[in-house]
Amino acid sequence: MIEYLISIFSGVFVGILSGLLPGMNINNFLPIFISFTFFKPEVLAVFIASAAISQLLTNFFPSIFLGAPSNETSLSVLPGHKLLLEGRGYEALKLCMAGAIFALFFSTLIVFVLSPFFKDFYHILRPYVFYLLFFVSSYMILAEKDIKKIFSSLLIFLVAGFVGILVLNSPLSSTYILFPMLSGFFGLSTLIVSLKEKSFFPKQKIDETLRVKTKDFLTSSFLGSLFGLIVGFLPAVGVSQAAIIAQTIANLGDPRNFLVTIGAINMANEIFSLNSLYLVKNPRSGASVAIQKILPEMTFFNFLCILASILISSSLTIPLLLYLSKKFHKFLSRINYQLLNLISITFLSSLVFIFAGFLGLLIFFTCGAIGVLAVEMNVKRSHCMGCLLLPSMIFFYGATNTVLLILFG
Amino acid sequence: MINIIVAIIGLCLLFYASKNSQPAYISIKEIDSTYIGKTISTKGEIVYVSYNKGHVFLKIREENSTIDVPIFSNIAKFLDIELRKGETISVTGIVDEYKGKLQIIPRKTSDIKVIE
Repeated sequence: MIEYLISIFSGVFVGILSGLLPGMNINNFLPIFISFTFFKPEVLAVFIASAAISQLLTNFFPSIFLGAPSNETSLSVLPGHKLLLEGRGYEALKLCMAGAIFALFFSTLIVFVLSPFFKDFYHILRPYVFYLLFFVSSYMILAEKDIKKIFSSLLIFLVAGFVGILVLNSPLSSTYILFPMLSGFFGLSTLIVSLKEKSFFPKQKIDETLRVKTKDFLTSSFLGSLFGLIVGFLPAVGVSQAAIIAQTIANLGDPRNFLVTIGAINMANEIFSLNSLYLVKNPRSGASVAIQKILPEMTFFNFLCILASILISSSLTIPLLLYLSKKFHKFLSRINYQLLNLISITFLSSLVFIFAGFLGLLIFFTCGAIGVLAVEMNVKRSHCMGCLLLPSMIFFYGATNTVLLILFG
Repeated sequence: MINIIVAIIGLCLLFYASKNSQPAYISIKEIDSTYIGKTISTKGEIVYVSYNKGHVFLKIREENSTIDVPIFSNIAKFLDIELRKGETISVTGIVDEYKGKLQIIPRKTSDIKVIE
C-alpha cells in the first residue's frame, strides 16, 4: 500500500514540474520510467497515471498566466488571458479546475458503468466523425454572420488547415511538432496583440467566487466530460477539436463557460486514455502506450488502481496549484506587464527551439503571424483551429493520401 | 503588414521543407496509435501476401512485431515489382487503424521498395 502512495506522490511531483514548462510532456520521460524495472509494474503504472494527471492540470497555469500553452490547453489561452486582463486570472484557473473536478467524478462514473460497451463505440462512431467535424467547422465559420467576416474566417481556417496538413501529415511530423503550431496560433499571437495594444496588468482580485451560473456550469462541465470521453475513442481527434465541437453545439461563447468546458474535456479525455487499455484494448495516448508496455494485460484490479491514483493525484494537485497561483499573483503584480509579455515570448521561443529546433521556430512564428492576422481581420482566433480540424476531416474522409499526392506529388 | 509577410514567407518555407524532407523511420514495434494520421517510413519482411480485386494486402514483420500494408488498386496497378513472401521491403505511408489493427497505407508506387 505504502509503495502505491509513494508512487502517487512522486508522480504528482514530476507532473507538476513538467506541467509548468509548456511543451515538456510526460511522454518525454516515459522511456526512462519504463526502464525502472525494479518497481512492480502496477506501482509504475500508478506513478505514470499520477504524473500524467498532475501535468495535465498544471498545464493550465502557464497557459493562463503567461499565455504559454501546451498542446492540450492551447484554447484556454484566449478566455484565460481575457480574464487575466480583467484582474480575474485566479478565477480563470479555478474555473478550469472546477470543470476538471466535475469531469473527474462524472467520467469515472461513466467509465465504470459503460466499460463493457466501450469496445464497440469506436467502430460505431468512426463513419460519422467526418460529418460531425464538417458541420462544426461550417457552423463555426457561418456563425460570424457578416459576409465579409465569413470570408475572412474561411481564409484563416483554410490557411491554418494548410499549415496543419504540412505540419501533421507530411514528413515534417514529429513528436514535438504540435507544440510550436498551437503555441504560435494561440500563445504567441495573444502575447503580440497584448504588446501592440499596450495592455496593462490590472490588480488581480483573489476571491473564491466563480462568476458562472450553476446551470451554465453544469451544462459546460457535462458537455466537456462527454466530449472528452468521446474523443478518447477517436485517434486523430484531440481535446482541442472536442472543445470547439462542445462550444459550437452548446453555444458556449462566454469565456468562463468555455474554461469550465476545457477543464472538463481534458480531465475526461485523460481518464479515458489512461484506462483505454482496459476499456478498448488499445492505447490512446503516450502514457497508455507506456502502461501497455509495463502491463500488457490490464486487469480489473489495475484499472481500479489507476482510477484511484487519478482521484488522489487530482485532489493533491488542484489545491496546490490554486495555492501557487495566489502566490504567483503577488509576484505578477510587482512586474511590468509589457516586460512579462516579452519574457513570455522569449520563454516560449526558447522552449520551441529546445524541443523542435529551427523548424519549430519557423512553424511558431508563421502560426503566430496568422493568429495576429485573424485579430487584425476582426475574426475569432479559434478559426485557427482549422490547423487540427481540416487535417482530421481529410483523414476521416479517407483522403489524406490523395491530398498529399496533390500537394507533394 | 509585417505579419502578412511573415505568414507568406513562413508558409512557402514550410511547404518547401515538407516537400523535400524524408519521413522519420519508425521500427514496426515502435508504431502505436499515437502515429495515426502521420506519415512514417518502416521496413520488414513480407510474411503474408494476398491479391484481391486488384488490391494487394501485405503483412510485414520485424523481430516479433507485424503490421498490415494494404496497397489499393489505384497504386497496385502501377507496381512494376512482384511482392513475394520472404522479401524485405521498406514502406512509406500514412498510419491508420482498421478493425482495431494498425496499418500503413502507401500513396504511390515509389513508397514501396524491395530491399532484399
